[in-house]
Order: sequence, then C-alpha cells, then structure tokens
Amino acid sequence: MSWAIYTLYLFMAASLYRLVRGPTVYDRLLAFNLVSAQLILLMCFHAIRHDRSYYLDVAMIYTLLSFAETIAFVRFYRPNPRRESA
Amino acid sequence: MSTLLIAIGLVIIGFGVLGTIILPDIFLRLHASTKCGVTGTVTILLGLIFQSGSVAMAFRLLLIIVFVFWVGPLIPHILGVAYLKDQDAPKEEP
Repeated sequence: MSWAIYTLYLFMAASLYRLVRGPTVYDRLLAFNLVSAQLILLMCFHAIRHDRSYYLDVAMIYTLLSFAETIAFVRFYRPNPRRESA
Repeated sequence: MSTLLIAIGLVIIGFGVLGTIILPDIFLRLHASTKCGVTGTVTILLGLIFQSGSVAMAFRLLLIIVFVFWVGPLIPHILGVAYLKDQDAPKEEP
C-alpha cells in the first residue's frame, strides 16, 4: 500500500509543473484542483493505513472546501462588468 | 481486488496528469484533468472501501465518492465558462 502513496506523491509533484508554468490563472486553478483531488486520496490512504477514521472527515470537508475555494477565485478574477458598459 | 482497483485508478490518474502537462490548449487540459481525475479518484476510493475495517469508514468513503462525483464535473465547467467570458485572457495559438 505504500507504493500507491509514493506514486501519488510523484503525481502531485508532476502536477505542480502546470501550477507553476500555467499561462493563465485558469490553468493554475485547474492544476490546483488536480493536486487537491490527489491530496484527498492521500488522506484516505493514511486513514485506512493507520486506522484513524477522523482523517476521512477531514477529507470529506476538504472536498467541499476546495470547490468553494475555486468558485471564490473565479469570482475574484472575473472581469469587471461595469468597465464593459462604460 | 482492492489492489487491482487501486492500480487501475493510479494508471488513470497518471494519464490525467500526463495530459495536463503536455496538452497545448486549456480546453484539452480541462478535458484530460477532469475525466481522468474524477474517474481515477472514484476507482481508488472504491478499492479502499474493500480495505476499510469498519462500516463507519466504508460509509464515509462512500460519502466522499458522492462528493467527488458531485463537485468534480462542476469545477471545469465553471473554469471553462470563466475563460470564455474573460476578454483579457491570452488566447493561445495551438
């Protein structure tokens, strides 16, 4: 089971390439979502491995919080509608 | 069974990460990341259900699967619509 955890760490490091290099902010948000999905998987792996059930609660909340965070960033970077009408 | 599901999910996630790195356009990247990310995550979580010792952990893993299926396809939709409406974003030439 530890091989799966190390492979997931490798994939997270590979996904950080797009997070660093992405031409637009949307590429970075996309890479952030990929990394957060793999982070949820890592929490579940460690919960099963060490038999701690509260890691799964943390993973559950983190799933919804990363979704809310993406929506907040997209609304923050949205172009100003008043500038278009003026 | 559990090891097989985890290995299949890792292969799917690996293809998603590869597509996210090497594809030239943002829409292709959204396609690769979403499809492979959600499917691989759910496959690995299904494999972990077989290894969980108690009913409570299995139920929580099932709830995480429901959440991932719920918010997973919504995020690239929001990102794609925001990219299309953003006039200032640089449009890449493939």
